[in-house]
Amino acid sequence: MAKKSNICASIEGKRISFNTRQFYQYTPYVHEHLGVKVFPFKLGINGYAEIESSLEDLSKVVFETSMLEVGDSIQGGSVEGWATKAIGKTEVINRTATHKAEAGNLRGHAYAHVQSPHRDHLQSEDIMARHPELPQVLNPIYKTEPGD
Amino acid sequence: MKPMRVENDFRTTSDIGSGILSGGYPSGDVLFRVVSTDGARWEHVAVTQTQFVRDGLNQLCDDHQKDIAILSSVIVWQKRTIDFQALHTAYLLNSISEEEFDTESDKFTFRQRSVDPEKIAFVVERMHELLGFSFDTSDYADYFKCTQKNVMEGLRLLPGKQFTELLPSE
Repeated sequence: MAKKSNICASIEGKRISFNTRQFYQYTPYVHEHLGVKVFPFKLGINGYAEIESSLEDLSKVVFETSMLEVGDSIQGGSVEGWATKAIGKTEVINRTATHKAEAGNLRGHAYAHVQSPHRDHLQSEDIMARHPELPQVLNPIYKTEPGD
Repeated sequence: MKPMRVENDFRTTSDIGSGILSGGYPSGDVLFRVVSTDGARWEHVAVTQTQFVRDGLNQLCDDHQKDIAILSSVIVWQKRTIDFQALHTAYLLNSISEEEFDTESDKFTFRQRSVDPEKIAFVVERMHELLGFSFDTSDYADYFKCTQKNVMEGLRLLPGKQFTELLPSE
């Protein structure tokens, strides 16, 4: 069953669709664990990302705590991540009856993570108590000994 | 104590000049501050050691140079971002192919480095005071060219609410 989260969770996939009110593209960098260039991004206002296609080699997952199955999704006030392939054109869609949003896709090995939860989660002790934040655990294959 | 009163009969004056900022001064080297309220009579004379004034001016210059360096680095960062955004826009508008974009983007690609958390804390706090707003952890990671984990190590050293709310709750 597809999992959905909006509290400090992440997803990783081969193809991830997203929509947001505000899309940012950062300058690329060489990923410290994958060793390849990645294109980082931020979904600035009300970001949503969902796995459309799963990674073929699950041993390359960066965070063991990432959700990996098709349909798994995250949602947050701000979502950030990266993709190993260039992020292409976005299109404007009707997201709600009153708001439009930008929609696009991440390709290659793609990762999206809730940077800040929705305001209601930040303000609600009850919701935070029932849905504690998920700590991210790095895949042991990327762990290096000090001095390596 | 009754203020010292002297007649306005000075005949010569000279500029102290920028040379005051260099060299050391013996305790007997002092600066006088003369205050006149009506333009005709000197009402008050204050004295302080030249070394004390020099140290204060140098500290002021150092602080301003650090601020200018931070603001300058923000402009350089934003220039790099704007240039990359222009390249990405060209790709989105099909002016260049994905392969060309990938090749050209190599010029902007950096390797993440390890930054001293204390340096991150100092720069982030000063940047916030100078600009009047904060960035996200992903913005700071792009600015410092480091990981977000590294940024959060620095943010944890800052007590301000505007910084602690950027961190996941412990």
